[in-house]
Amino acid sequence: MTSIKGLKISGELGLVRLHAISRSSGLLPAFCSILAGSQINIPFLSAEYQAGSIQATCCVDAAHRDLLKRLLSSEPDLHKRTEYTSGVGLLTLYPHQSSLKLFGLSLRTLTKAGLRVFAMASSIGALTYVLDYAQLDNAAAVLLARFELAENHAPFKAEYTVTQGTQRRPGSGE
Amino acid sequence: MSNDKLILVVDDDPDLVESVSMKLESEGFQVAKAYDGVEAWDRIKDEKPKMLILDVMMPRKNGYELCDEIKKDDKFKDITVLLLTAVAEAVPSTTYTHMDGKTTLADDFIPKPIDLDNLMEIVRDNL
Repeated sequence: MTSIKGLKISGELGLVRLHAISRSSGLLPAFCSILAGSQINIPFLSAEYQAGSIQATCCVDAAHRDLLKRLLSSEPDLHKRTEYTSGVGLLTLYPHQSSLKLFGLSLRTLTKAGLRVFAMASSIGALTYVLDYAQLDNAAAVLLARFELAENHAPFKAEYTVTQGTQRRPGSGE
Repeated sequence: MSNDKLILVVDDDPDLVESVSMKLESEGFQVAKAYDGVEAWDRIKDEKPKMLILDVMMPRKNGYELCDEIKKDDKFKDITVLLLTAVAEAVPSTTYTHMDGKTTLADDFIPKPIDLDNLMEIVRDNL
């Protein structure tokens, strides 16, 4: 049985897809700047480059849906290329360490269980799937039947959420 | 007796653990990894590392709590503890300081976001 050290499940998120953005248009950096300017965290971001255009996929906290829609409505070029899907969440397995076996087995396990995968990305330490939020616990259960999890693993769900804020550091004088 | 070449990297962000570990290994260090404070404490007891690179915000047992337990335990108090923190610029002292109402006996601080070259300097300074 393949071993993993841990598995993480996010809170409810919204999935944002940006379609057919020209590489030279600067729309993807503009999109990220808009989110950063409003202190909207991006817990997942992937971009696919094809024949001079980019398709980007990102997730934001579900609570930011209305704010994001308002922000994008004032940016017509971005708005018309944006598709928003509610009710998704992230399931992350780690460590990944470029293991194609972990990727293949986990993807096969999820799809065999009939779980829809909206997006996935691997990073230096983790493998992350974007799934239906209502199915995250089910997805974790089917994966844990396939993978051996370290005995002393961290909790699956975060005990705290890190958000951006405007609070200044003590003694900064601002 | 501690393992003089072993550094334990502890963070709940697997990407941070991996990138810091790769840098340390490329510089010739042995590395162990843990993903929260409870797992880290188990690894410390089993492997007795020379140094800890320890995140502050972690599930189950945070970095302050773990650091205090290490420094108050005669068997482990000599382990060098470097705390990873986003507020390092606000820390006036590296030996005994006060942050968010908590005290810590960490040996030094590594500011987040991490500059890997700066991290190596801090690691070498504390060995």
